[in-house]
Amino acid sequence: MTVQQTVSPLPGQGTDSVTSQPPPPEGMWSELFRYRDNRLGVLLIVPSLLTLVLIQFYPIVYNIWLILTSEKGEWIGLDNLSRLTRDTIFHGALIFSLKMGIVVVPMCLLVGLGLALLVHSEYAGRKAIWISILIIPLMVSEIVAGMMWKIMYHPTLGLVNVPLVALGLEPIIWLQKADTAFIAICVVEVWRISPLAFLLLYAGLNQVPRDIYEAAAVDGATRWRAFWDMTLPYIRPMFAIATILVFVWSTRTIGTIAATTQGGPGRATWNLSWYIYGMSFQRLKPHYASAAVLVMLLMTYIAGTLFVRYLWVERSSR
Amino acid sequence: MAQSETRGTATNEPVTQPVAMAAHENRFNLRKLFVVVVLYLAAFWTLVPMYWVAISSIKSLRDLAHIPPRFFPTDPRLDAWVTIFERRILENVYNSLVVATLATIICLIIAVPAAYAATRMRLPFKFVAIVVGLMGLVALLPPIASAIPLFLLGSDLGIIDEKYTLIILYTVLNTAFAVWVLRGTFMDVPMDVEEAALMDGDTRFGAVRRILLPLIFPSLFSIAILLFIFNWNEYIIALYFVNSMKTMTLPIAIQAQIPQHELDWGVVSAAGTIAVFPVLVAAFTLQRFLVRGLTFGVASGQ
Repeated sequence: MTVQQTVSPLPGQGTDSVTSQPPPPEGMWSELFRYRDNRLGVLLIVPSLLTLVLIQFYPIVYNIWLILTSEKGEWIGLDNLSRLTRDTIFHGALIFSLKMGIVVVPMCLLVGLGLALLVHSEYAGRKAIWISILIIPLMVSEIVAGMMWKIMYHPTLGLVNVPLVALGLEPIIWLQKADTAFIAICVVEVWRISPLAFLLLYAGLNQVPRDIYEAAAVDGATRWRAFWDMTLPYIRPMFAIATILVFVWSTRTIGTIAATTQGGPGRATWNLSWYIYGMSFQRLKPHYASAAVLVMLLMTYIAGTLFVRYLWVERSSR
Repeated sequence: MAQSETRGTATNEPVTQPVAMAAHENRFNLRKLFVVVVLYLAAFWTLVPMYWVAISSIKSLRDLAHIPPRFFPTDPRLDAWVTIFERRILENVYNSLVVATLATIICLIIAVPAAYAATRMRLPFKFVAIVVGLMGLVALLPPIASAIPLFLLGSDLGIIDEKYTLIILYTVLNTAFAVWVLRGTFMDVPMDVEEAALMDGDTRFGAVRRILLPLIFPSLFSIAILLFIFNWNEYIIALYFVNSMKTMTLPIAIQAQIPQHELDWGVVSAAGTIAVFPVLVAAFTLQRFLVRGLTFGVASGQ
């Protein structure tokens, strides 16, 4: 075995680095292509970068082009955007999306945290079974989830009205009125998304070292105190990630709406996704709909930047 | 021996301990009862829509019309199932299977080398950070945001309503997520073993094949299941790109079956049951892998 081999376990890199010139001062790109090994690495990454181009960069650039032109292909500048600011249907959709986020995110986090604590506690028997039951909604297609709940809300077939009738109340025709339809859709979303919060927070709880509780118990801390002062700070990063993901998931919902209300009654349950779909595909105004896409992208990017910050920047700098 | 004389010493402990234990046991049981009851309620809440759909598919018309709705069908019929098979649901299942399987495999073929390069090849940190950060961002991107440009591109190229278009799109849709998740998986495997193999004169590819792949296989498998389920459930892209029975995947078929007539729910219930069935099987047989994959999906990078 030669000396070089022991110095450089990874082939390519070591031999090159011995023979190569002293490195140029800075700069990612020069460094990137200096070693044969790095070139191979870049080559391996390129296909996935190409998918990024196809699924993200191309659509974004094309989107901007679409926004700046009319349906006939004429240059109209920012007309689409200014029309959007005056479009009351769009306002309704945007407000509906945000309203849904405001209701669904805290509900999902509460349900998720509660379930995570329960499954995590020593009293829950076989955790694996509970987990596999509780995460099932995550794996059900949006449209199927919406369809299932549409049956559940059905005035005669559905189960939701049964307890109401048993209590002597009037049965509610959930999906026919604006405010009950909003509640109904929020319930579907909580059913569908809260397992995500559960799963993340459960993973977070598993990372909390157990001995700190013993130490706290020796110091005479109550369970509540221990939860508040130790558990919560520990799972705070996971909590942030769960918040962002739940928000993103709830704003991008379309299958639930397509299956349950189709945006009705009237336009009471149009959300952003449904608006984009309706404008682009049903009313054939893809250029105008792209302006709404821009708004949605901005929302996601704000959430996404926070996400990457929490997941990537914080951890790698640790 | 008089009790009063020995109070506080070791001899009276057997007397007091059972009492203390009983009190403790009691408290313990109350808490346990609470936990278990709430968990059963949560399981009920999770499973009841699925149960409801499954029994709605075998209810007779009389049962469907019954008020209040029956929790157990009195007169199970298979009419709805016959109808759904007559409406060629198996073709939709076939389409979904083909698209989901191929897209999963291609996606892994693209993503595994990228994740390997990002974790094992000592690329400049900044480059990897940018790539991985972008991948994370894209995993959040709502698919509908890309749907319009891709649809217009697809119509220009004349490849709307083709299975291979769906396969390509599902592949690129999930690659970023797959790289992001796989990267976390790779980082969990220590590099020492591979380096030892490399020092012993193994080629890089040999080290990957003989050492790394067997080590990460369980995680790879869980990610594959996860990707398959994503593709199996994908709805938004299919909404834009499916025009005919030739490409119609299961979610779109189900949407098409949602009834206009008030009581025609048996058929769509049957379709929904078909769509959920593989997922349920996966949840119970592969749950260890699934939880792993799902958790990795978002918590990777530690």
